[in-house]
Amino acid sequence: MFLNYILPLIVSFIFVFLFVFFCTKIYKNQPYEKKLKPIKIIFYSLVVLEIWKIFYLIAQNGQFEPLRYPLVFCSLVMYAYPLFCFKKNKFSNVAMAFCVLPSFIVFLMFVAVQWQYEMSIIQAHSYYYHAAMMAVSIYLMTSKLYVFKIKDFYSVFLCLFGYVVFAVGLSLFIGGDISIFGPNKSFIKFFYDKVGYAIGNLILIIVIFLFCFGIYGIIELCSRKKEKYKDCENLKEKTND
Amino acid sequence: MIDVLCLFLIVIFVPIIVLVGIKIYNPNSYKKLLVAFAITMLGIELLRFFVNASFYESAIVPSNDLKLSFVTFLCVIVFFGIFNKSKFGETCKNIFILTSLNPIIVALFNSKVYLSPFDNYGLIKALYFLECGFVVLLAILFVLDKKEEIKPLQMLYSIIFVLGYAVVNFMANYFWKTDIKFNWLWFLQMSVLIISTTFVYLIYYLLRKWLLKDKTNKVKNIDE
Repeated sequence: MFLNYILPLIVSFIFVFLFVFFCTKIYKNQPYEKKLKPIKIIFYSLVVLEIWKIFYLIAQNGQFEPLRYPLVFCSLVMYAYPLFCFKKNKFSNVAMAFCVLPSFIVFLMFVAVQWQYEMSIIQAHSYYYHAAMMAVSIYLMTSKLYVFKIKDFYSVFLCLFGYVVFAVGLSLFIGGDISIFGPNKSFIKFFYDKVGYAIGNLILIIVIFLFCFGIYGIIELCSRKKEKYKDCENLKEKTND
Repeated sequence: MIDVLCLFLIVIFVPIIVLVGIKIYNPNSYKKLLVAFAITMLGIELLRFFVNASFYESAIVPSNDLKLSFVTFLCVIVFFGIFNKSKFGETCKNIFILTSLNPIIVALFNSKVYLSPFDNYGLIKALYFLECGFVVLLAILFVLDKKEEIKPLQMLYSIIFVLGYAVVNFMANYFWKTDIKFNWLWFLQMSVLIISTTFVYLIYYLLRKWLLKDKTNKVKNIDE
């Protein structure tokens, strides 16, 4: 348990902390383009590791399971990086928003199930992959590259909704479990068994909507309160003067 | 029981999710949205049929598995409501609004409209629930887009429409020899379908009054 789960988790958390701390410190007063440099490095490393993983698994097993396609829920964030870390465009903000919240969900889901697996080279890759994703999402917030706005919650929800539809469709057409939303090898199979696979996914979409709205709503409320407090302080200072 | 809960959740949340999007992106007119969602609803209805057909060999669907449901009728009249600008189109729109809860009632009374013995993933059921949600959504969009008020006479047209559905349903069940029995439950279902139009009208009347109040308040504020 310690070697297979706790130690890799501790190493992952240390990696996340060091990455966020140093990158935020180094690029604190740098322009927007330069702040994106660490994310670019992470993106290239993830792509290289993903290609290596495919070759390694085919060589190892002589076959490639549907769950190993780089189309799973965890891979999704990787495809959002190029949308904002090379050139600023109209999708940049949405892509950044998409990298923050889903990364947290993915990391939590990853942590929740890893205790059952033995440590291997593929596991090490998985730990790096998820830790890197988490690190980027926190770095996006600490470097103020991404600022939470309530309006963004809908675009994040739409992206997730699109992905669920895509994953479900693909799982049904290919016949395997392309993602955690696959019918047979799912994290939420107990739920699918209770309400049915298709209905289960519809309910899941509703839950995703409520989750996104809840998180963005809480952050919006907190920031509004903060602004109000700041305004009050400014007014006090002015009246004192 | 869990099916009913899921049905209500989906019916409530489909309009909420779409209306939140409308509130955020603030489109200029509802016309394009109405067309898009009506096409989506028709698409889901066709998909429901094809998915059902795909469960059987050579796609020959037995007559008792053919789903000629209330929602099929709504799929047809929604297009008249959107594209026909005459009085008939307006009536279709009103009928659609007043009978928007009927697919849910049909589902509650008769689970056969969405159940298939081969549907392991519950795909047909999900599509039907989704359709119910889209019907409610389209009805809300129709109300938001409407300039004229729905008159009580429109309730009569809606009741005639429901009676028409009852006749078609009766004939389809009679000639296709489906398992549906014409007992008190069938008559109760049709009666509830008719009563629900009055219920929807009542909700609409109360909401309309509230909406108008809000609009006149806004106009007053601008004048001041």
